[in-house]
Amino acid sequence: MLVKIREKSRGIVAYFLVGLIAIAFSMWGMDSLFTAMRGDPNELARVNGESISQFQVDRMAQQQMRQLLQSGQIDPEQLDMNLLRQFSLNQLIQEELLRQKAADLNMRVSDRQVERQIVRMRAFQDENGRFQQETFTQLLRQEGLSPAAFRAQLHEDLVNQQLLGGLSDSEFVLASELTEFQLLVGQQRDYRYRVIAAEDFISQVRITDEALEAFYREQIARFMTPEQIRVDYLIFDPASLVAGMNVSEEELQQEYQRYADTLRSQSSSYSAAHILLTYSNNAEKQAATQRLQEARQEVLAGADFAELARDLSEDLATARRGGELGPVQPGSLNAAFETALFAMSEPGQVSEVVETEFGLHLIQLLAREDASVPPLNEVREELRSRLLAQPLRAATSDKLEQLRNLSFSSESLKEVAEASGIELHQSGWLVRETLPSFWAESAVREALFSRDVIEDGWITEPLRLQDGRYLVLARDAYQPRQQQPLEAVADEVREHLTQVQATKMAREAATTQLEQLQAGETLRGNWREITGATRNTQNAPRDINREAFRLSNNNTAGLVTLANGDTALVELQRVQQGEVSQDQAELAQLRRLLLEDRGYRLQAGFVKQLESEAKIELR
Amino acid sequence: MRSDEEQLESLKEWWSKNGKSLIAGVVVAVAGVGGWKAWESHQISKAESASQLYSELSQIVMNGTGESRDQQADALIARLTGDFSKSVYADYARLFAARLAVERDELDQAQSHLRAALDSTRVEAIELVARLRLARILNSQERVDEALSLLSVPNAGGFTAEFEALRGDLLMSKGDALQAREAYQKALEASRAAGESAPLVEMKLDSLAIHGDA
Repeated sequence: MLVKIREKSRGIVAYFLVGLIAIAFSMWGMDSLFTAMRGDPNELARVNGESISQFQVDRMAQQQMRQLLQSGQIDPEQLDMNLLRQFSLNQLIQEELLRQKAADLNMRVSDRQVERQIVRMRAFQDENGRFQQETFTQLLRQEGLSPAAFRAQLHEDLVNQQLLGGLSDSEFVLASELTEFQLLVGQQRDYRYRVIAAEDFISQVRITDEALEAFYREQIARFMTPEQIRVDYLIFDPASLVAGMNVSEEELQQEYQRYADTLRSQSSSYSAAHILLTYSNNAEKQAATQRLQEARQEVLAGADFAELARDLSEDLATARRGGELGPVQPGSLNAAFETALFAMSEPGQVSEVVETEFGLHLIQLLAREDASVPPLNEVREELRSRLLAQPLRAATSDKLEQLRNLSFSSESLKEVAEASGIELHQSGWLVRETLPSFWAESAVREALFSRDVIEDGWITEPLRLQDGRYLVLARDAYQPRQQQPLEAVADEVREHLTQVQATKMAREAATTQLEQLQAGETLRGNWREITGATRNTQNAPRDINREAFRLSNNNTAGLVTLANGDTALVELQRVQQGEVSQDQAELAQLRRLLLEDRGYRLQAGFVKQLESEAKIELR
Repeated sequence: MRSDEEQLESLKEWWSKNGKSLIAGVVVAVAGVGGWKAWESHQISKAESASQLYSELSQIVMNGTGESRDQQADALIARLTGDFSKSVYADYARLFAARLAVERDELDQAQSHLRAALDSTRVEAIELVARLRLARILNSQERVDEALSLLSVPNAGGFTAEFEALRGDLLMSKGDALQAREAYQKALEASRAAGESAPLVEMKLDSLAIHGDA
């Protein structure tokens, strides 16, 4: 009996275990077992348990960098990879949230829908709108994507679009909302204002020493000098090496000859006609040669080359056109043929018999246009630098090597300067946030405030500047952020306090005027009248216009203190509601704009909603 | 070490004890996996058909024109809400139905579509958006209190800015400028926290400015 029960129970356990494993496999596949076992060291974030890796983030950041650079709107030096990575991480988190939600809601897109989308993409179509398989594979290769990966990505994008689009595309605008929008946004106001200037009160302001000191004590953190450094530096300009290099007149002449030859052969244009005779043995060759020599004599005696070509030439295609070959590009024909052709200078001239692999030719020059070769003096400098390029590169790299060694082994930059024969300079005080000229280049800035320079007093390696020069620097003096004494800043503080006080006095004066106005008194003089101002009017300063739009019919006057310390007194005179358009096209356009704006906000809201529901861990 | 025969003997014995249950277990497991896979592929094809219908619907509503647009859209909406009524695609179909009704100026019908979406969806974002749209329609019909009660949820999540802005409008129509101002302020804060601007809310806030503050 007992044995029976044990047997039975073992059976149940076996069922249960096998069943459990089978379910795990069918639901999550083999991968799940393996991924569950290893943690990912590259993980940057976890979104509801799904990890986002450093690799994904880097790849997306690089993609974005490529796009930014291709757009040509951004300077590679200014690209902040860290910012791009941060941005990419955010985007990947959002995509992951959408992906999870879509999976959770069992949203799917069939492979057919994906294919149809690919075929519809403009980038893969020819000019007739037809899908081009070749363009497709080529573009993917450029992006470093396999077709399968691209399809998977597109699949995900389409599902995400469905999920987001359901909210934005089903949005509507009610007629009453359209009206309300126009009334509000198109509102116009008439008002007047006068400015009570702070400057007028400055002469009345007295700042005591006690007030000065009290302010200094209170705001002590404001009176810090920034971190700054002063350096010794030297600048090596490879161009300076040119001065010591000589090019002999002879070398220059040779280079000029080469230059002129190339220019002539590349930019001159010739057109020619020919007569071709072929042969298959020596006897035929002799006969052909003789025939051509006779033809040559005939032409020289005045016969028509074209006529002869028609009769004689075995190059049948050109024979019909009187042997005309048309324009001849240098390098396009047999070398012997070209040599003979280019040697002729006068149109009409006829060559000796020329032998090529096609047979024997008689050539006539039809027209010739020579490239104009500038005289030596005009191109002397260019040729000189061309001749010097190679030795200059070598000398530059030698000099850099020397500088590198010197900066490594020397005690001071002065030693480096003396040994290398480069003039030593001293900078002014350099503040990290406001670096002038080349000091602001990122490599230089980094070196300036590096530990090696600031603390250890090392001499830097030669740093390449954007203009091609090289900079070597070493610390002369360094000043960390530090407190400035009151004496050093007294004038600045006094000026500031005076301004604050004058601002306050202007406001007080304006308040008095406001009260007079509200009591029904008439204020005369220097009002500025504004009529029909919209919210974005150019006719009045922004702050004043905004104040005018904050007033209402039961509160017609107000004050606004401007950025420069002045106070404006503003009095509202008339409010006119915006005009409601009757034009259907205009209304449709407005509706479209509102829908677009709302659609965008809805999608952003949806993502925010998912973020608030999710568990997001950042590493 | 046991001899081969002994090993064979013990294997036989083990088999006689466990063999049947092992076979049964494997059979059940295979049947289970098969059944699961079949069910899964059925679910996938069902979801894919719903997805296909939904894509067509969205395409027609966004790009279609004239009467045929509404007819085609209505047919698709009927299929989505009928055959796939529990899916998110049906929720979206109801939202689209509401949009089409608003465009025809049939506000009561739009409301019933939105109510249906509100009742049937299990997606919080859809529920919130349906509430918001319902409240907007009620507002346009001057049913302010009904609209306000629709908007009173404990947490409007990612749609807080929109909820508060509408609440501000509703309170304004009730003449409660003080509370309206508070709601607009909340809307503005929610927008700013998300790094977005809200010019309309700012205009409304400006017109409610209390004298003296800048």
